[in-house]
Amino acid sequence: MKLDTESTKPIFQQISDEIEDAVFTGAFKEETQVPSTTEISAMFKINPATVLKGMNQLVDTGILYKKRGLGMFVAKGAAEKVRQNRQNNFLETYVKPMIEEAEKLNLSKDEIVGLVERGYKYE
Amino acid sequence: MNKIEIRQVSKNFGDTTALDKVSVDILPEKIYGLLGRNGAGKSTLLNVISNRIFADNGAVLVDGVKSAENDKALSKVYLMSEKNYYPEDMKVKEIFKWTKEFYGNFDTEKAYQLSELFGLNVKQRSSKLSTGYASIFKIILALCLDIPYIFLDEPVLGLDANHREMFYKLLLESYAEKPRTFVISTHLIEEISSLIEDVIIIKNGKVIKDCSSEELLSSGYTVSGAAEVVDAFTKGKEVIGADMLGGLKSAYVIGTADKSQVLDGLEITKLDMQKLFIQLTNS
Amino acid sequence: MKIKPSLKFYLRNMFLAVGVYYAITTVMLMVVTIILNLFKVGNEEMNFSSSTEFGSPTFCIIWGILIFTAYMKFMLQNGVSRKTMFMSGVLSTVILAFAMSIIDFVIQIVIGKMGGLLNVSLTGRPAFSILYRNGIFISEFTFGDVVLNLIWSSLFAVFLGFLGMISGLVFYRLSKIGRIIAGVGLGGGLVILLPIAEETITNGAISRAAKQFVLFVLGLQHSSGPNPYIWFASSLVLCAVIGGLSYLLLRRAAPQKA
Repeated sequence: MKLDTESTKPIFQQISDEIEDAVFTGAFKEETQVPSTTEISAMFKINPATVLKGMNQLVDTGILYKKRGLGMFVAKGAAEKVRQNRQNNFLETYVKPMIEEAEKLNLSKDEIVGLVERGYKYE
Repeated sequence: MNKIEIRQVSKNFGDTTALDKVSVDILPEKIYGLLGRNGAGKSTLLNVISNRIFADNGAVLVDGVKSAENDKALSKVYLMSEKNYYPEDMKVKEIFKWTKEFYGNFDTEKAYQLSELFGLNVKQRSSKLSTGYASIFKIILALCLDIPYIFLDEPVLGLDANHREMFYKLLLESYAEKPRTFVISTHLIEEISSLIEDVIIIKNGKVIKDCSSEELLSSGYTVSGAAEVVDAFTKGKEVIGADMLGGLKSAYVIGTADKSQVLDGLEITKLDMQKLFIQLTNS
Repeated sequence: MKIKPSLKFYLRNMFLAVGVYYAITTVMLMVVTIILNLFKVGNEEMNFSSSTEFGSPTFCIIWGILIFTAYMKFMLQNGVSRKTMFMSGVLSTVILAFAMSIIDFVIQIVIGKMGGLLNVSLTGRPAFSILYRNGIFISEFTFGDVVLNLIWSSLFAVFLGFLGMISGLVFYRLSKIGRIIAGVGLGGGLVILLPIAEETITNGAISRAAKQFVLFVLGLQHSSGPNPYIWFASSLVLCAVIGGLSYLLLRRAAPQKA
């Protein structure tokens, strides 16, 4: 996990995204405890309230849940939830920016499709 | 009702207005950054809050009670200022002892542990400590005091990077373990910008910003690129400053960047706290 | 609320200094007693003050000066209000005064006995005795005399402590220049201007008035003879006045480089 100090993305959002990522890749396994607010805050020298905000956001979206007195845990099925979300956002997150960049470089739609094919060939 | 209320506090020193009707609330269990240029009035404000000097007008209330000359209210407040107020011949370990006498909630054992961790010689006279170790000494006192409101004026003066890191880590751990308010006044703005929850900026004796640090950081952005492109983009926007390097310009804008407007050759990055502070406090 | 720790602090510092003071002076006195014994011729009476009586008042004045100057910043650092500072400071001065009076008296007796053992007549004559008991020696004191002597000298020491307090506070609150002017002015005024004025303009009226005041306050003007009880009352009045003025100086004082 790391933070981008230059990004316009608020820190709580970055924390949220980083944890979500770890859940998605399985680094944080379902039904296991994630690092505490204090641990994350001490590691990155961030105010705990900021960390908590980021984590609470994941609780709201059902990725994490709180166990009273113990801390935050990865919800069952969270990884799948993240996958779904990302699939839904794939268009916005990756396709549209690619098309924008393609247009800047004067690549036509056919050329893009051709490039995608090539990309798969080298898989 | 639990908070420190600074109500319309004014203080003059002869012809100079050090504080001009300052009104701000300091809430419990938060980490604040108190920022301001040299001579802006930070130390004066801290001195008034801690009953070292008296305001000409206005009042400071701690949990609803006027704190001036009130032992009980003052027992909830502690200031570690730049200046050393201890007798010249008093040793660090004696100071630990007396702090416990006067405040009760002082973890002497932890103080000795931290002294060892930082390499502070407790048998030294506090007045004879180097700048760095004087800061370490003050930090240890603050971390071991379980008091609702702790004010630190320039706590990392003279501290090397390693010790600064240690301090921030210990501060967050202490804050997690015993939640209480820390108000940190410092010139190292970028270093503490993520650490603090709220920011108070003082300029010429007035409070010009009193908000969460997240609010402050998201209040603006930096737009960089070729000067003409930047200028075209920033037309009609609230620009608080800019830097030029050859033909490249970085403009600092208040507001939210509209991504759709961002053209080629323009880069949007965050407005870091120090830059924002500088722009806000340049006269 | 913070009276206990602040008083404790004052007393701790005080006793340390007092201990050192007495250790030194007592040793000195014993040494002198022994030396006199070695050099005496026959059974002469040595008119030597065997008491620490003159050191203690000085000590009290100095203590008074210190409490609100040397220790003010320390008190402020520990969240002690000036009100509490004042109360514990005054309390410490009173305790100091009484403690020293008792110790002085004990030392006088001890040294006197020592002198007796060495066949040197060194029995002391405290100021109280000189003023109110025709200069009799301690050995001739009644129990009542002892008690009166203790109270009298304690109040005297308290009074001096209060003088120290207000002097310290006045200087503390003056600016650097003010302090120089005050120091020079006081010294120059007393030593040079006053005698000149007395000689020429006032014809000694000031000195007479001052003398009258002192005699009155000490109870030495009474028609029926010297009365120590008057000092009990007058010292309390004087201390109340000086104390009140001191508090006025203290209550808004900002921390200085004392």
